[in-house]
Amino acid sequence: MVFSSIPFLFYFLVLFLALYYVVPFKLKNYVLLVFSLLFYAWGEPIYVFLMMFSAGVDWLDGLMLEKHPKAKKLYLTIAIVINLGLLCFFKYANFLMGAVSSVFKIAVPAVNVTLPIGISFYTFQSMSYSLDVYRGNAKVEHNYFYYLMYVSMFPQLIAGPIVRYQTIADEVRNRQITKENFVNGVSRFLLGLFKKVLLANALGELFTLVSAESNVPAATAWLGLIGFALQIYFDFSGYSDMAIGLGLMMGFHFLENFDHPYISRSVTEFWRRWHMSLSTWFRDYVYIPLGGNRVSVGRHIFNLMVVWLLTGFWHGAAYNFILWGIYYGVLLILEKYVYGSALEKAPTLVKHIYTIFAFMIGWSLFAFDDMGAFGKFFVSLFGANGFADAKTFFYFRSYIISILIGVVCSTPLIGDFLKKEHKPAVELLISLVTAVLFIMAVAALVTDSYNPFLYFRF
Amino acid sequence: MHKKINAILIPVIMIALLGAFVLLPPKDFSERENRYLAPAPKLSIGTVTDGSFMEDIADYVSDHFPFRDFWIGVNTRVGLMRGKTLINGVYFADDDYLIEKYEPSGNMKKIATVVNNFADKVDAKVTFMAVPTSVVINRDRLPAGTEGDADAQLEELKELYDALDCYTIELTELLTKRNNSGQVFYRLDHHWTNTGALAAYGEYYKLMRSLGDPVSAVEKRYKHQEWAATISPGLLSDTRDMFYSHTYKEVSDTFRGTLFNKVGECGLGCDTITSLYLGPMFLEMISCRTEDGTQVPLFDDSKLETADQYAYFLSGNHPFLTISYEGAVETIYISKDTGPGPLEMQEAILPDILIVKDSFANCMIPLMLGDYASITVLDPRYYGDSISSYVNENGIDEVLFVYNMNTLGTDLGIRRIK
Repeated sequence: MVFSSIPFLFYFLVLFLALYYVVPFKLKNYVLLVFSLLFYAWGEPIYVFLMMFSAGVDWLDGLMLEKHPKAKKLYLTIAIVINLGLLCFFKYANFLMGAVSSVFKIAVPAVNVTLPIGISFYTFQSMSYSLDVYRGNAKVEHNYFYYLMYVSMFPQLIAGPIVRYQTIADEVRNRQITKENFVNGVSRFLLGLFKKVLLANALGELFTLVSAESNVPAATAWLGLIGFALQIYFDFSGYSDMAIGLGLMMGFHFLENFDHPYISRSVTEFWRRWHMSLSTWFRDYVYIPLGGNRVSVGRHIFNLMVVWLLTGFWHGAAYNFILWGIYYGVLLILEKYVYGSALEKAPTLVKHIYTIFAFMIGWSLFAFDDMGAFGKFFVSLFGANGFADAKTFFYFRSYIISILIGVVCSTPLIGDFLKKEHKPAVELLISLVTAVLFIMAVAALVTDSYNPFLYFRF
Repeated sequence: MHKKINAILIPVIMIALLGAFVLLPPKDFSERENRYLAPAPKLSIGTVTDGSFMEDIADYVSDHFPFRDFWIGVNTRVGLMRGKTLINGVYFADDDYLIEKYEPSGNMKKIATVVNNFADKVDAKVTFMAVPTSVVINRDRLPAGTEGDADAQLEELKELYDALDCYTIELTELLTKRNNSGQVFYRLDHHWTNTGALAAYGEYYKLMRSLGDPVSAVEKRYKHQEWAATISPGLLSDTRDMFYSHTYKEVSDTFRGTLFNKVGECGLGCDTITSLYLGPMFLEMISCRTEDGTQVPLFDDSKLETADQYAYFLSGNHPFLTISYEGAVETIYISKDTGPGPLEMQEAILPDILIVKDSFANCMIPLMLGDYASITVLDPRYYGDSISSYVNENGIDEVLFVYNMNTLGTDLGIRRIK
């Protein structure tokens, strides 16, 4: 099930919240668990058992780590091997077999497994528990159902953020379900819903139209790419907002996942603001264990490349995602060792143009999992098919308002405005606008127009 | 403070809608959309494990959402406010025209091969009439920059006609010209009007008459004309006029068709349906029957009360129809004060035609009545038997394919023809 759908909004969520608030505190975790399993089973009726198994492995591992502190390394290794083994099999087997057969020119039997939705998110989440317990950073959870609730918790299950166990460990048994949390949660959820339905979907439509054409002129290609860049940001950060909002309604406090990445002034800064739960995961569990930056230059470059290769590959089992990771690895190394200091001294405008150009090129890699299609699109960006044609004007006219709204909304302007206390009349007006936006969002969902789920490859 | 208001206002809206869903009686059929709404899904282990139960629930909930039409209209208006002119696959064109976007299918060669094979097998004259749609004929009304859609359709049309070995009817220029003085396509429905259908049929009629080689059907028709002229000199500038002069009547001014349904209520008004008028005496002689012999009205007034008003013509789509004359053909001559004409003569000299078609032919077929002894109408989507055997066994003289370009490429029926 996805948040931006009529069944979720009007049935699942209403029913869940009603039940969740009514039952005594001791039962709340179980209500959340049951609804989370339902939520997942809605889209993956079979793979829900895989998730339960995967969670069971790490939960058991936690118990073992506690019981046999001397064999810590062994138990951790077992947990990691099983977690990554499952992830590799379900997510990467098809791709790896294909790669082996094309490299060695031999026939390899195809493994036709469909990717379980959200497997990358919950595997990383669950693995972080074993790792944290091993390092003594998290308490051991003795109740399997509580642990399963943490792994399967529907707000962040299928599109993040990756919530580490230590973040919510205390709140599993002891959390405040207050009016204030609920009020904040509702507005946060609505913000995410509007981002997804009113901005991401509207702009994604533009990219879908453009990428369906072949040999587009440069202006059309850039319009389409801008559409994609805004779509993926509002879609992804919208999901995170909805997750954080839902968490608040239940009394959980998840960490922020996006912080206006498009206003960054360097690629390094961009990655401090984009999908923070993933970058910190890789930082804490891969980069730092490899030695981080407290090593020789050569080793540091190696560490960065490993981390970014993996980050790219995490986003999907295809060559373009690997290239996308390598691309960012190279950019970050260049910023660190080549032109970082020059960039630092450059005028702000130059920094912005550089960063925007860098992530736009990144998105063009990310958007096409067919390298041939990417190649065609990439040369289009640089004028292989002329600058503009009649259709460019049509796209411009049809989407420029949405693009401008998107650009404004990707800066902190509106958020800052909403944070301030205003006169009651203004506050009332804000609420009325919210209601109108909600009606627009429901209208888009009922009409069942373009409403894609972007994370089925993650 | 706005957050507090939100936390009350939004749940209230949601619960009100939920209440409306529970309290409003469930509907089985949407007249406006002319389709059965998704039924309440059945829960079983099988439907849950393969996920179909969940999909069905989503369809059910979306289909039965309260005030669906209102929401669709809101969504369209929001899109228009954003400056969009393409919403749900429909262009908002000049003069309040809705025009369907055209997506090339790339199937034209396949279709031509099927039709060519069919034409080889039958003894009749085979003609293909591919009707260019509104996107071509109303090209000048399209939003700036989308004319490529029209070109794409014309390209596919050319590809089809180049590959066909049978007769073809070229309509683009004719309909465009006719569209300058009249209205060839409805504004809010994807079908053509009577004006378009009449012009197209005239073209087919001319082709059949112009064929120099002694094809029996054409010969018969010439004879028929000569014969008819002896009965009623002066009346016959055109064979069709023998039976009736073409008078037209506005039958509805509340028509909002398929394209309207895609965008909902957004202030575009309604279309009028103008139909050929046939006197009751003439209609009485027409037998229009389905495969099992059920009589179907040629013009179904009751459909004008439903949302799918285009079904007025031939009372909608049928897998199989035969239209012929029943009883005394003479009466028509009596009614026109031209004296009785012999029935046997009539049947002997008029050709028989088979029409393989989509819904575009529905409003054209009544216009052909005077020219044929019998008209057989086939929708290959629902007709599994060999059409060529049918043609040969029943001595059909002409076979006419009538398809609109918008759905021809994706039509599942035409590729099954044998």
